[in-house]
Amino acid sequence: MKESMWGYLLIFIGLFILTVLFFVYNYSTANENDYYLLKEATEAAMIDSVDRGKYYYDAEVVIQKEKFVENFIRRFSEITNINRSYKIEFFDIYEDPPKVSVRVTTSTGEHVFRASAADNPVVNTLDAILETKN
Amino acid sequence: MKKIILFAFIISLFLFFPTKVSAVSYSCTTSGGKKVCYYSYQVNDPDFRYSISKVTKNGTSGLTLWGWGFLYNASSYSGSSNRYAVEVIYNGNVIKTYNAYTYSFAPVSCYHFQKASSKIDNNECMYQSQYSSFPSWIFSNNIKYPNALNSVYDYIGFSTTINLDEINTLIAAKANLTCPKSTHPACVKNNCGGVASEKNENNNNLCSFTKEGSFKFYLRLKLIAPSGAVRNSDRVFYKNISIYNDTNIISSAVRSYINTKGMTISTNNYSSAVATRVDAGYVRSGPGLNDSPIKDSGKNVYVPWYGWYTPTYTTYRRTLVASTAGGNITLNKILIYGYVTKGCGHSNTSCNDRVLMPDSTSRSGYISESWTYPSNPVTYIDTKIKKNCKCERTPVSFNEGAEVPSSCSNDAKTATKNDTLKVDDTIDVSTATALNIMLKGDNSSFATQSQYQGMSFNVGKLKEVQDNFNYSSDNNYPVYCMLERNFKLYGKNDIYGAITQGKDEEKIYAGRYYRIKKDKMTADITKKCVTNPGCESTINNIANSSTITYDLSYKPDNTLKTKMINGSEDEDKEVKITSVSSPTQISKTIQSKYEMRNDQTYYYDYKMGDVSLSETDFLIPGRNIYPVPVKTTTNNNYDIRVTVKGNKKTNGNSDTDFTYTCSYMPIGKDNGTPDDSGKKNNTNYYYRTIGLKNVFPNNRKASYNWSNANAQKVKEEIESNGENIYSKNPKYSVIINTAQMREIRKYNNSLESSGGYMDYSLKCTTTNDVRTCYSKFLNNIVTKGYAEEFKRGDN
Repeated sequence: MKESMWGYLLIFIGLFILTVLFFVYNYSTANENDYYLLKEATEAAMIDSVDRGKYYYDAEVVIQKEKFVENFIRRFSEITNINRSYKIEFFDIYEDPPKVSVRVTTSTGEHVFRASAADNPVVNTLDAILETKN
Repeated sequence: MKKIILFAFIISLFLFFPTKVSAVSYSCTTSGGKKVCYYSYQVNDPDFRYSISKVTKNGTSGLTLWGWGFLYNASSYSGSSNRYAVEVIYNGNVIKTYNAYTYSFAPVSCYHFQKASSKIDNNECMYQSQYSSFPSWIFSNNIKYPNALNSVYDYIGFSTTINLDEINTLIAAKANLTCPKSTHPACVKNNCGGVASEKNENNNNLCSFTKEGSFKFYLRLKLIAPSGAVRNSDRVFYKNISIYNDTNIISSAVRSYINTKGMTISTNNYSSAVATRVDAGYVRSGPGLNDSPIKDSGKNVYVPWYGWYTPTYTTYRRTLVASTAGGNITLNKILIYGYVTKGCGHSNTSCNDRVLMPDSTSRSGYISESWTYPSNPVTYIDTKIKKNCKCERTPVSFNEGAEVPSSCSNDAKTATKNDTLKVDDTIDVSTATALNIMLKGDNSSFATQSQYQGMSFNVGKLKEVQDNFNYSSDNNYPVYCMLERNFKLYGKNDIYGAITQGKDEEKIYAGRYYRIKKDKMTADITKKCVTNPGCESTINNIANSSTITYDLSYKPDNTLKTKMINGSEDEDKEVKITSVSSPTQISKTIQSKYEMRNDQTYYYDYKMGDVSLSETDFLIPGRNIYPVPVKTTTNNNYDIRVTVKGNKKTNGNSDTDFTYTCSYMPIGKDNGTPDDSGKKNNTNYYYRTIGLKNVFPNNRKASYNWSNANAQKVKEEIESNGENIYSKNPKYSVIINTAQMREIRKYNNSLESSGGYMDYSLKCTTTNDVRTCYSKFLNNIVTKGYAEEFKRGDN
């Protein structure tokens, strides 16, 4: 009896560790995945939102913020994990010179949240600019 | 009480007698049945009545300035060809002085107006240059002498040529423009404004101007009196100068540097007589003729011509091209005016240069005062036009290509050579391309009196053709619309400059012209009434939607260099567009007739079908047309919105003029990089993630677009806020769940054929020169089920 209890304990610990590993893995994967998607979507959206007329005529690199936000949302929705919900926030969009700050919040399994950041386990932020080649 | 009255009287004196006038005015008055017209230049210096009145192109970067006027005691200035100069003023400083060459000349013929009683009216005379190198059309004015032919006032003309490239280089240097690296053609040509720069692999200068390519500069005529005193004319704003392109196409360099806002630009080799006026309707003389008609504010058109008197001349012919805006020319009056020196012939030098002076005492060869007005001038019309047609403007159906309806209430026959015009005849020139009117007198009258020179008639209700450029606020690319019965889309050449398309050209750049290869395109027109809900009912006979077939083959104005544009693909590929006031038609005529209330705005959205662009294709330009690789796929739909703003005016004679302002813009299509990644771009900028504490760490040099003052300010803001921005309210916030992401993906799929992510719509408004745009997608993101929540913060 005593030996079987040890066995159960070992199995329980193993399961617990697996659960923790699974959770941590899931979290870090989601975090990393979201970060790269965020980075890719931001880059594409920023480049898409450049006012090309202004660029080609005036040699000015200026983005259009509404266009950037739309483009980002559409791109991000296309490429990200569709099984999760996201809260996307845009801070500090400067059109000229182009600079954006984006925060994407999601969770590993729960439904959409509206609570504070403390309840959102997977948060990624990104700050990026467009600069000319010198 | 008495003091008050006296005070009011003194004040009124100031009102009636302004001390200084500085203006150009043209006006006609009628006195005793005689029309007196004069064009006066008034400058602060009464002895220096000059102005720069006309500008013509000279080569690719030169502008020749012309002016004329009276100079007090001009003989005292003789001996120096450089006594006049044109100064180019930028930022209050004279940056360049061009010596002007003057022409003092004796007038060749003098036009004036007189009535049948033949009393010669002093002080009314028009002069022409006897120098063939000096275009005579610039003298086609009625000029009032400052005094009654005071001999100390001479009529002087001048011209000089300024070099715009040179001016731009000087301005660039003064404006402290930096040279970032780009291959913008305007910059490349300008050699960076003289600032050294790097070169790219093709050895082109990599530079550009940091500012928008328009610099305001002034031109001022300077006169140096023999005593050394300098007299300056009023400064002439460049924008008040009309640039006429007689023979050449304005190069991109020129137009990059000149803000054509507010300017009237013509590529015709004839011009209206007055440089700064935009009048309702116009009648132009045909190319090749020396003198243009003059139209005054009373819609009277004076058509001068001249000829040398010889005993054999009995008739003179003038060809007038009526405005293609259509309308009627009402022949209110046939006034024959002008005369030549009696007894002088073309080669008769004893007439003292064939001078005609109303003042019979100062020159020889004057007209006799027994000159009489012909009582029965005979005219006839030598063209196919409708005569005596009392056509009312009836609505026509919105049919492209529809002819003007022949709904004339009376006989609208085609005039023939034998028709005679009489006073008050109405000529419908709506379909006419030329109007030849001859004045004919019998031999005796010509032999003994004079030749009839000139003709005037009232211009009836020609439609006003308006240009209404407003690049900065409207973000529309204006078209040259002419409406009344015709609603045409024109592409107008502009400040975007000319383009060069060669075989190696791979991209179509914003704001440039390309020829659309396809002969026809099908366009669906959706009419929308924007400003006044319910206004659809006021539009007569306009179908809500109709299919219009466009012929977008280029129909150039005959004064443009058509070879390059009109040629086949095998010909020279270089396509350069000039600026036009006689517009470049790039679409067929859509005819419609409607009455518009004041300030009503209509949008006409034309959805273009697929157009496959090639290097010889034209693309209707617009600020939001983005570069498209020439050899791209067929996903090049350019929807065009033509905005028509109506303005109905009723004048004192109960005439109603409809004027329309037309503007054009492409809608929401961006066919830039067609691939999805959004990363591939051959541009000069790139994306980089940053840390908020230091945007350019490790002594990284700030790139060009982060080096200016504004960028520095932004950088400081970013670094001072740091990570704290994430604790503030976001500018935009959206929550999307699984179902909504599916909807967005469906939406993305639906737009794949029309540009994908580059298919977007922005709704923009401008308030106090600040332009704000909102994305249509974001506006409807919640209602369309693309997001659970969307907020715009404080932007």
